[in-house]
Amino acid sequence: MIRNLARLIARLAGGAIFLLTWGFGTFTFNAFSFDQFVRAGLSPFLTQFVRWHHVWFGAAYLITAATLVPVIRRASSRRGEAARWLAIAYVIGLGAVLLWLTGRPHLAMLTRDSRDLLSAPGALVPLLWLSAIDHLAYARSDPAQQPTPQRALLYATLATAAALWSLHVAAWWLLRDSASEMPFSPLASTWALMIDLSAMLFVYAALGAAAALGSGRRRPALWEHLATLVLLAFGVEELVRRIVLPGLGFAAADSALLAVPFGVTVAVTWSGLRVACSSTPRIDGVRSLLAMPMRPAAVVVLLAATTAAATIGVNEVAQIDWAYIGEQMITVVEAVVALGLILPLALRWTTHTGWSPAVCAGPPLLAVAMLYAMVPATSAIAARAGEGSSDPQNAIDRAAVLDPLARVGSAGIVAREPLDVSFFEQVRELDSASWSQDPAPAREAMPAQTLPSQPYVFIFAIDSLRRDYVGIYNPAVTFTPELDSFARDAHVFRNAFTNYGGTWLSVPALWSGRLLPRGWPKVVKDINVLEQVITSTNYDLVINDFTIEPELRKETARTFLNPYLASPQADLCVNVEALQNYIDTRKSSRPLFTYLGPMNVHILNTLAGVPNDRYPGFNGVYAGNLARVDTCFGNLVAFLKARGIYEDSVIVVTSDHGDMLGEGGRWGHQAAYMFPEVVRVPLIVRLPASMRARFTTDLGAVTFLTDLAPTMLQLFGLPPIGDGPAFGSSMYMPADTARADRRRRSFMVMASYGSTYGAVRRNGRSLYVADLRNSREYAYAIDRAGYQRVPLTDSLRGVFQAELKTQVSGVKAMYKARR
Amino acid sequence: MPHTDVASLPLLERCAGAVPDDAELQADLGAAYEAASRTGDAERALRRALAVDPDFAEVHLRLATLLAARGATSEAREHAEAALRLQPNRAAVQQLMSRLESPTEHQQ
Repeated sequence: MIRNLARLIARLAGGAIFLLTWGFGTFTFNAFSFDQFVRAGLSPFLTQFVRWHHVWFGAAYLITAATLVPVIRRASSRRGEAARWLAIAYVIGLGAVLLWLTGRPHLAMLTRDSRDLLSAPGALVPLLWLSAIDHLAYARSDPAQQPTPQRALLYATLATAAALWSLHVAAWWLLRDSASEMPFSPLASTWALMIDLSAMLFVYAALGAAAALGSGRRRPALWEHLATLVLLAFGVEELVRRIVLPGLGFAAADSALLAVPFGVTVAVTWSGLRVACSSTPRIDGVRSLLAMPMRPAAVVVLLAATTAAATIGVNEVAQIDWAYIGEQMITVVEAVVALGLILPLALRWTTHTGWSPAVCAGPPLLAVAMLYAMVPATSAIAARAGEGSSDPQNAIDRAAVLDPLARVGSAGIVAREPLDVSFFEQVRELDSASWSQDPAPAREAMPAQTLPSQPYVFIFAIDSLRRDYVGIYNPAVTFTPELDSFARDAHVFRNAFTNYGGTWLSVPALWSGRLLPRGWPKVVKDINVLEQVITSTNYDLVINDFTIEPELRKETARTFLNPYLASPQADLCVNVEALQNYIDTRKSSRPLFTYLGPMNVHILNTLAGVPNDRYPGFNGVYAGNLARVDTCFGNLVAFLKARGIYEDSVIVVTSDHGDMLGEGGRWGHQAAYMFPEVVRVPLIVRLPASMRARFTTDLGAVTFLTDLAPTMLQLFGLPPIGDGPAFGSSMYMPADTARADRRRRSFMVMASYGSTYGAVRRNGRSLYVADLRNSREYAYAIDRAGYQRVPLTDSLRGVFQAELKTQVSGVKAMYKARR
Repeated sequence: MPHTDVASLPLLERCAGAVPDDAELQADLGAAYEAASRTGDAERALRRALAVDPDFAEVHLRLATLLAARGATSEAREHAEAALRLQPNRAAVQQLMSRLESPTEHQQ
């Protein structure tokens, strides 16, 4: 028992290192994930892992080799002898690889070339090798062993669905934030139960079919085992190919190329582990691959513990932009563990061992019928429960909030509005290609300029600042008095949007004044308008930002404020203190260009705070963090006034995107979130009196962050950039002219990380969003009071998609895709 | 505001009837009515545009001009002020404001 447990732990530890190596090779294979994770050093753990990979590999080698000692020492059969030689070959072969890696650290040298293609599958070889040894050395197949009883599978999957549903709803109830989340909905919970049951019944049908395959054959359990292995490999492959890799910007063909060997490796490795670390190393299908026999009381405790761990895990990953990948993986693992715990009880209590096609196909068909019946039943349940909305789509959305399993299940089994896949295929190219502007950049370098008057410039792009949390936009806000006071003396743009739902694209787009593809670091140095303004007009750049600053040209002089604070700790108050000190002590008389992107109200800091009710109607942590920002902004304004700088400054307060703060159970600005809370941003601009006298603007016109760079060109009298659909345009124009009419135009918006695209029309009153990952479409009507979701008609969809096509063509025409 | 003429009026009327909550369409319709010298209809269309989007500066300006022309100076001033809040320092609005401030000149 102890020896088996030790072997299991050693193998899991070694396997984790090999899989991490696979993960790193996979990340470097793709332009987007390489730029986002590897080159940017986003994960300190990953950076350290790569730096010390040869040591980690050596550790994995030693602990996995140690588990082979019994196999090498004892060979009592021909299969045992084969296993022994394979184990010796493993020790020698992997030892040679270790020596090679020690002399030439491989992972640290990967830089998106052909070696990446070999590194990822190469990391799976040790696992496949160990699996072959395990099966040869330990696996026993009993020819008389019958397949898993069909009814036990049925009862186990039904019980798993019911248990997970009740535990998830209970966890939601206990952890919900009553201030910002939706009330309990009987309709949504009924939908959640139906979806859970349907999802688990499809699992039953697949496992039942695997069991049925062995029925009547000479070695039924062996056949069932092989079929279940195929299912397991397919399930893992689908999870990686459809959810994980596309979310990281992988093209369909690359995803399949990487996911298939990964799925096979995980399945056979798990099978090998189960037989190598079991006291009864039998090959008998679902039972040996999934079942975890234990006492009923222990099952109950472990089920609750599994749900608690999964809930904590989902809440933890909610902080990252790719939360949906983590959420879905955790939920799938939770369901598999729950089924593994419940299955032995069902086996123990089921006496009927027969097999029939009706019992195999009947329940899943019944589940489909139940789902269809739920659509007309929704109105009746809504009326009885006193719920306002009887729209099934809304109910399913709320079910997904209550129950993570329903969230995963609804993506796969509930019919959606059909998306025009062929249309979105070309839109999706913006995700996966790397881009360049060669042979020639679209714009020549700006020559050195001497401006007649050169104001100071301060741009505050406060990360994740929501428009409706600023008092000038929402009279209910009491915690931004300084921002409001500043805004009363400035131009408040009422209809401002971000082009992108994440910092990764919105900040470089703001600096470049145009839409960008995901591989923007390849092109940004040639088209960075604000950087060109700064260098050509001899500004003194002071910056605190972790997205665009690393992509500025080396020769662009800058002062990075508070360089020793990591990105999530970027605090406006600390920045302001450093900035004031810099202004007071610097010797240069050059005008300042300051760009700050503080993270005070970022979701990482919101979720890290202690929930409180100090700001009724608002998220207490977020509002408290914003109050701190407001105070320090006020301090800076007072400082600038005291130094005589304020009146002669261009000051911009905006954000790179908004955030979800529990609305519909959603948090942050994740990969697929392009909801109104995320795409609408505050935008407040104060100009020096001399500029106010020369220019006018249109505060009611739709405005985007990409308009900021063209605005600087206009204000400084510099030549404008292009005027195609992918370019921003100046928010200001000479007082005797009107702003070019943008009210009748459409504008593309997209998520920074996931395949979610949208279009803004009718001067920002109409928003369409297509979430390709979840095959969902949304339409919103936006006005001064807020927004509401509206039905999406075919004609509305057609108009939006036609406009989106124009925008995508504009981006493609500007950049050149390079696979 | 885009160029609109009398010939486009029937089409605009049909479109605006089909999509009454499209502020831009109502504004275009108002401009077309104005071109056809149907100032009463123009005024109503522009008011419908503002009901949908109260921050439509061009419509405020156009409506203020229409109102000023028929002597509704007080209401014209309100719309001109609204236009100026949305388009601060815009020369065309300021000119209208100064005409409204000096009614004698305006009447001449």
